[in-house]
Amino acid sequence: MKRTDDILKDSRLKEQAFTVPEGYFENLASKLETVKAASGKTSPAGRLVPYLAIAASFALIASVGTAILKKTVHQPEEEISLESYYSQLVNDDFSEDEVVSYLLCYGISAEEITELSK
Amino acid sequence: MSDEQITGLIQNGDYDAAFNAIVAAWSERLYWHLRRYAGSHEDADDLLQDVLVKVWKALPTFRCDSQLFTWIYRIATNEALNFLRKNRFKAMLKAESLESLLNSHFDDDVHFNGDELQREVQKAINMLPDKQKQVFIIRYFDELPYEQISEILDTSVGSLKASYHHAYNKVKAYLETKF
Repeated sequence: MKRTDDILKDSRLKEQAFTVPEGYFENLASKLETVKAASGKTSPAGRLVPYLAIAASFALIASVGTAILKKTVHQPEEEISLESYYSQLVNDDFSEDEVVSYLLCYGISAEEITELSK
Repeated sequence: MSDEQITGLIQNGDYDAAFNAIVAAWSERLYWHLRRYAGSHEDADDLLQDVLVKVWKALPTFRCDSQLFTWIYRIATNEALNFLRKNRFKAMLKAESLESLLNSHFDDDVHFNGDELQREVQKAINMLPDKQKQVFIIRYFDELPYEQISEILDTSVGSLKASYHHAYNKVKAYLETKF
């Protein structure tokens, strides 16, 4: 039978359903001191480290083929393409030279990078 | 400490004290906000730290004529979007959707103690497109007025109302298939 009430008006939904480990908020400030100190010393090369896996993955994707990926991946409404991800890396965090140099270092061919940057 | 007092510390260039006050006053609220985007406590913890480090780095650029609340929330929502983008990319590499990646993290999370309805509403949120997800979380759970959301997301009130309406109906329709 179809519901007549609005399920999103159920007050339970506004109640906290998540927990945190004991002492999490109390210990956060001291944890942040370390992160804060480290964040001021990060070198440009260091900033690229989180993208190591992503850059390496470009090679994997290239070898498997974007076409196959597109056929197998569920398409969300706002799906991000590899090309637009490349653009975001360039626009948000790094210069294009940095991204290109980095991808070349990790074995992505110039042709593949050219395709991504079109 | 109030937002006005924290703003005063920033104005005086006392960034360390301002940051400590922001962490004390805002961490918990930000965490619960970010937790709705993240699949697990670990993801939410990483996300919160990223947000607070961004706040720390950006403190000298804070313009004291803007509201601290709006400024911090804007940094948090931008970081949440980045989190979703990065995870969507990771999901693509595994040939799965962002929704299923977030759901699998959520299913494995030991720090969830809600009931089935609460579990399913989180899964419905994971299903929403990024913009609708942002608006839904801020409006439904944080209960901020549209005018404030408009300042945070730099989007017109009309557009926000439309996004919220779509998101609300999607979440509701999903829940109605389950209960």
